[in-house]
Amino acid sequence: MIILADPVYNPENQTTINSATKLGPGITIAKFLGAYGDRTPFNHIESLSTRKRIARNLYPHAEAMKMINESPLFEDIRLIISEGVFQPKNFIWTGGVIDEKRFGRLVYYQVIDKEGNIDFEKTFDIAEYWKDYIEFDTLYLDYDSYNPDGSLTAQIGLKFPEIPSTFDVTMKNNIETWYNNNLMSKNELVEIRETE
Amino acid sequence: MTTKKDKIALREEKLGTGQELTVGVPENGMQNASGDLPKREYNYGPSLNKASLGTKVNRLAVGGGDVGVSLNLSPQRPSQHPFNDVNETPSGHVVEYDDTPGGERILIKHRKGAGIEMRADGSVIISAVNNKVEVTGGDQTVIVEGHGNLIYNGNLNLKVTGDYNVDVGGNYNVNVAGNKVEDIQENHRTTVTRNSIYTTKETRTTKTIGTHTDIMLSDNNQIVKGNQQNLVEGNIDIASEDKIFVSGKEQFAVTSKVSNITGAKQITIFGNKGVIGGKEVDYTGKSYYGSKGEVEAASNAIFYGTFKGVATEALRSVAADTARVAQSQTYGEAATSGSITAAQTSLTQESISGQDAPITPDLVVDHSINGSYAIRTVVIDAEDKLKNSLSLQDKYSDFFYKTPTIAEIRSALKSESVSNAIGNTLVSDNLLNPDYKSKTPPAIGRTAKKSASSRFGYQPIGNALESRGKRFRP
Repeated sequence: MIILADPVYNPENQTTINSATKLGPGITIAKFLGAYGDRTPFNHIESLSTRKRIARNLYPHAEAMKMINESPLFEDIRLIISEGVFQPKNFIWTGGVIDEKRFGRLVYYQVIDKEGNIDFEKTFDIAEYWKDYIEFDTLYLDYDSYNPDGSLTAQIGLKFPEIPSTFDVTMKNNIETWYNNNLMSKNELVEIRETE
Repeated sequence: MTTKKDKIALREEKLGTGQELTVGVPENGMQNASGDLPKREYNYGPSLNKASLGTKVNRLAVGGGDVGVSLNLSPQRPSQHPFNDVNETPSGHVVEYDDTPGGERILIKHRKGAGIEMRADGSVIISAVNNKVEVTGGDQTVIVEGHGNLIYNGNLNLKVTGDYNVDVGGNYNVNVAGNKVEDIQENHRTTVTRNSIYTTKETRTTKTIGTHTDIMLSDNNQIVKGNQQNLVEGNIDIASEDKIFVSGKEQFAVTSKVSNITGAKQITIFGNKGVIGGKEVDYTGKSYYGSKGEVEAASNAIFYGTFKGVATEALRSVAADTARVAQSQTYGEAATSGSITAAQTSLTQESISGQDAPITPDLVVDHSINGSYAIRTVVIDAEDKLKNSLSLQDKYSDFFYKTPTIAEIRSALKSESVSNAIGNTLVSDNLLNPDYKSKTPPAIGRTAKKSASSRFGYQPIGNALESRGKRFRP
């Protein structure tokens, strides 16, 4: 399939790519750089081609965010980026998830309610909504109990294939549920709750 | 209805004035010429606006908060009829003046969700779903009695053409993930009333084109684990009102075209082995000793050359023809020895006794180990404990150089190697739940297969009321 990129936000039409470059209405590249889990400046990427590559990979993420932001179903929550573009500090950060996050293919989101807490119900709703309404490579519904107090955290990971300049890609639409970095289920989203 | 043949006078005559005035007005007041009203959601129901009845709440699009940042909005009481005056346009713009007891509010809302809401508790919510522009022609004053949270999920540029004054009553914390660059065109002054700590985990360079002056009114400690170089093109003055001590465990060298070492009261230069002197060097002093010190006839010294002066005794002399007095002459003869008496000798020769014990080789060794002039042993951060505590390199196996947040840990643990390498350390530091590898979730809720889920629509399909309960698949 070919992603129809909005010519206003298409990175291929930009002469420079920096953190202020917009990928959608109100969505800049900076949004994907300052994630709580992977705070990364854009300084380390010097070549325009690599910057464009990252911007292209982030473009479908911006579209996915826009879909949620504009939906009346999710008007009480805020979708934030918890893990965005990742800059490896040294050589030991290589392979797998690291490379996918490094170039903007894989981004993790959290769903925050009005009190500033994770909205678990809406997290599942959004994962299910994305599953039904957008094309992607893999969608991860990611839960963990990493917090020192053992409380639950939920994230949604969206992975897109490498987006070429033609925006011609093939999506696999895989869905997976993870708990504490263990694969719980494949081809199924499972909601995990703190209590029965 | 009127026709082109009708005349208002005839119609009034035929129908009566009251009926004529109502002709053309449909019996159902909800109908309108454009057909926009009534809306689908009002079909088969009362025409009164649902917001007026409280069955619908018009809200601004504010979304949620941010991680750890609450919007602090108290629940709004539903409107009661007939207290809520609602004015809604066909496209969905709404103005509400709500006098519901306990839920008094004013709402001005755009159909997209933007607008302003004044709530019963006095809160004011302003929402812009796209850009927001504020222009103030004159001065602007903002007074906030409570806390504030500013979150920009993009870049923030602040331009102040005049002075920028920040007055902080508490702490001022800046946390930068990338670089911090300060470009100051004139002077920079920092005054710290108490302590100041500056930690650089890699290289630090300071360049000064003009004069650099450090004034310390107390002690100054420079502790260097590696090498230190002080290279100066001009003069160096090192002066102390008290003592200066220089110790080099392996070597200490001073080289110059002209070297001066002066001990105004006393000078001591000693060593276990070596040479003092030079081709054109003169020696002056009170006495000279061999390595054994003041041991008669066995001081273990050898002198070559010509001596000028008077010897106390020449115990043996092969040719004592220039010795004034020789107490015994085993070999040879002293041509002039008999002409000067012993009494004369004691008057004319340089005779000094009662010397301090000279430094002997054994003492030299001891001197280098003990005492105030002993060679210093310098050990700095022997096991790199300080370095590691600062850089956290070893502690977190090069994955983190600072204490990580839980969000950073969550991100890092997606790599199995990180989990294996530093998982236990993070647990012991109370940064990670000890059960972080647990595979059993606390409880399971809904599930969704890969195929599209059926769902209720949130917009009515058609006019039929029953359509609202129908499900569809995307």
